[in-house]
Amino acid sequence: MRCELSADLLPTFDLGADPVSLCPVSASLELMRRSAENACGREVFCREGTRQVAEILSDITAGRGQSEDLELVEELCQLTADNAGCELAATAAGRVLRLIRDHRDEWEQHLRRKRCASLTCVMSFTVYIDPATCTATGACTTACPEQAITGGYGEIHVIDVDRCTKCLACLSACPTDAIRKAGPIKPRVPMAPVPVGSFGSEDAEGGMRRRRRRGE
Amino acid sequence: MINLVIDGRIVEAVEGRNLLEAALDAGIYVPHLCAHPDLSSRGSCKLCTVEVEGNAKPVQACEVTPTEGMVVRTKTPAVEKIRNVALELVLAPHPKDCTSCRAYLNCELQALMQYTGITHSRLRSIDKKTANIGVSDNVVSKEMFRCIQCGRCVQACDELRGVGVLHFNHAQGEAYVGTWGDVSLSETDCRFCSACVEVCPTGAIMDAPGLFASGVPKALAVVPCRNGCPAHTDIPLYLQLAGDGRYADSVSVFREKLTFPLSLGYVCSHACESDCKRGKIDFPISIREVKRFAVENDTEESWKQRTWVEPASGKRVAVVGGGPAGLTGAFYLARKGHAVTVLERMPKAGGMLTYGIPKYRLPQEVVDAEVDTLLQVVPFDIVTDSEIDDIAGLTAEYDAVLVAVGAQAGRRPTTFRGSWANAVNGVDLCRDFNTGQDAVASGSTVTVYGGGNVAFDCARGAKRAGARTVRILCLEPASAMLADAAELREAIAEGIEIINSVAVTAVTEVDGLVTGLDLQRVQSFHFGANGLELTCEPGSEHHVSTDLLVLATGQGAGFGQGFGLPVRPNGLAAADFDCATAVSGVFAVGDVVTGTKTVIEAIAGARRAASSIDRFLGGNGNIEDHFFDREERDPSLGIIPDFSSMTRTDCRTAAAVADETSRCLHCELRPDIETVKYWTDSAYLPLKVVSTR
Repeated sequence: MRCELSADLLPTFDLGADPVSLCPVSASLELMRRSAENACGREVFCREGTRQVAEILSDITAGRGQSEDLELVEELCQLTADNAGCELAATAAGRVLRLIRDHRDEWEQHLRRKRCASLTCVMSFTVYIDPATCTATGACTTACPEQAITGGYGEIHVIDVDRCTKCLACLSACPTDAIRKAGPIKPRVPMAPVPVGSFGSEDAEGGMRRRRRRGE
Repeated sequence: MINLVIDGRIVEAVEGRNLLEAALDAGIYVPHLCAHPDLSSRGSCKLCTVEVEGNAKPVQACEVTPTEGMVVRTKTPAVEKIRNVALELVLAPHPKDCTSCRAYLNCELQALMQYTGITHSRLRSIDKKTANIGVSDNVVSKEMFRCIQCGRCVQACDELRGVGVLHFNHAQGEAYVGTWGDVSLSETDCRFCSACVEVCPTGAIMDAPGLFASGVPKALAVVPCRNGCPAHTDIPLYLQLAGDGRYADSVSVFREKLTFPLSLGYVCSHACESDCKRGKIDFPISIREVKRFAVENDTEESWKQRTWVEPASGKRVAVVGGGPAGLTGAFYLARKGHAVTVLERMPKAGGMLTYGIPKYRLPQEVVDAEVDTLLQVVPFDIVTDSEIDDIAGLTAEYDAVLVAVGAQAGRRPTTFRGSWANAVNGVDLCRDFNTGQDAVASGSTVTVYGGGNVAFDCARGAKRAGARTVRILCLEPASAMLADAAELREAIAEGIEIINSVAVTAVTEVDGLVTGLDLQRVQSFHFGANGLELTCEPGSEHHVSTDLLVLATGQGAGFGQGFGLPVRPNGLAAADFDCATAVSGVFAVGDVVTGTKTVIEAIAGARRAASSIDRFLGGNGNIEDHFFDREERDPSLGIIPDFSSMTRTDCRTAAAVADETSRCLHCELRPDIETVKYWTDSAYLPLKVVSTR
């Protein structure tokens, strides 16, 4: 190796984990980003290869992936693994290759159906406030950087899905864990803030409905 | 020699060359980007990837030492894959529009795109956040968004020059090339040698626009002082030698290209300093003062031991005019073995050095001593008080004639054609000053018309002769005056009044004497078909009175049709680049051809004339001297504290000269850096297949 950069700089993942608990695409993106950010800048594969792959992976997690991207990522990672000047980039690329090899179906799901089993990738989920759990503390409305959450004192809060950037700041802010991610199955939530307790609890379980994705 | 096989071709590699160099030496082009002939190999761009038999993985040719019997393949699908993807990756963050780049068609990256057929296509474009970091200055122009991070500039600055102000920096999760703290180069230890510019394969680091003369081969243009000097004196070398206290060696270097170095040390118009690259940062190196100090402190004159004088050729040459041009021509012709006679119309030799340039600028002893030096090296005849009206007699008597009579005749605009007793030509007044005539009455008012150096010589001479009021009238505005800035500055300090943008509309006279001048302010002027055409400011008419009117408005050859040489409409003689005139065997050089120019131009021209005449007389025309053996240069410059803020010194002491010469940017090192050859270069075998993609 021409360069001393060590693989210790990489985030540690349980690479053997199930895709439901670890999204292989998001994990790959983290690996590539970390490698690109720490590259010394001299070697072409360490510098540009990792950054290019990170750019493609970022597109995939946002739902902008194209069918030929998986092949491109594999090609670039293989060349980076073989030709990198440091352990950092070579290891990162090798781990991405392993994540592709072990979870090819999950990658295909990401690209073809824009789905992510662990609901990690932003394209794969929406954020909603469970009307049965929300106690209207207002913590989420303050935390939201986009002012996408409405609802006053004593009202069940509602997220405007179109304004939500899925930054997940509200998730950690809510003291009652009322804010959740929803995958392809979308829960029934009030269209506008309503007083706490007024939204039909009889629908809380049975009200989940599958909504066709827009543009699908 | 090591024998190996590259692409089925048996190749001999020189010991010590790496595999990439061995292939290129053998005419086999292997793409490369981070490799440079003057820099160590790093193998980081991956473009020179090749397969070596016995190696499991492809390798970078620039990092491989050839061994006997090695078998190398440079164009297999596997290596082309690595190479092409590496190039695609390099192009991803690179601007896509080549035509707006100053390096267009002079770019290694563009050449590689053509070679491989790779374009910006398959990969995502990358927008680098650090792409616009980097400050341009007057010498180095930076467009770092074009940087491909090959690292050559970083290496050149560090390992070639020992300066090390360029680094791989990190910010915002990106690595980029820049200075510590992203400051401009003048805030670093940069020596402005421009090695970074020279090695940059793209348009990221370039010379500032207009930095060098255009229409000149690059190797000459990048050393602007040497290129600007009419005699192309090796200025960087003699500066350095003088700075090192090696005055004899320094003198030897400029003696190779010129005569009269001490006179030049006093009065040279120093085109070198005007072009000096350091002048773009603060002020040019005081080249003229360094030269003068070197001559004045050269106690050995070692160049004299290395002069040559060829055996007598039996040919005779007459040189008409004993000024710097005539004497220089005579000096080299005499050394080529010809019997030379210089015919000087005045009582002393030296021409304008003796009779034109005022003594306060150039003492007569200096001129006399320099003429004597020429005669010590090779004796030739100088016949003074010998005015030639017709060269017919000379062409009959001599094998060749060199006309170097200078521009001795003042030329007056039409308004001033009257024959007033108190109106004098500038060139004549200067001569009167230098011959000790009482040309200017004490306490009088003197008006000089003209804005060139002769006008200033007259005005400053008149002031020294005791004139009370001296004024210079000049058509040009202050910003466009023909005289040197230093002349202007010193004249103002001496109390001379300079009136710019003014025209003389009429001369008032009484009894054949000029009494005053009608003036009007000039808005613009140009020289059209009918001569000078003026646009004057209405209502700006005014009048000045004067006791003496000096017309420093240009000079002509001063000989008529009877002289035997055709005269051009501007009053000057016609001669080609080799100084030959329409008359066979008659050559002309210096001011008589060029009009009032400089001493150094006269000397440079006379060298050319001497060479030309020697060839005419059957010689080889070679007049080159070799007074100093060039030593191998250490390309390392190292660091000088506060280099950018070192100010110009007066060059009066050895220490001041050393300080002054240490300000030099060493532009001369740049042509030593090899230029990377494109794949289309004739040094490489033609490619049957450009790409197998």
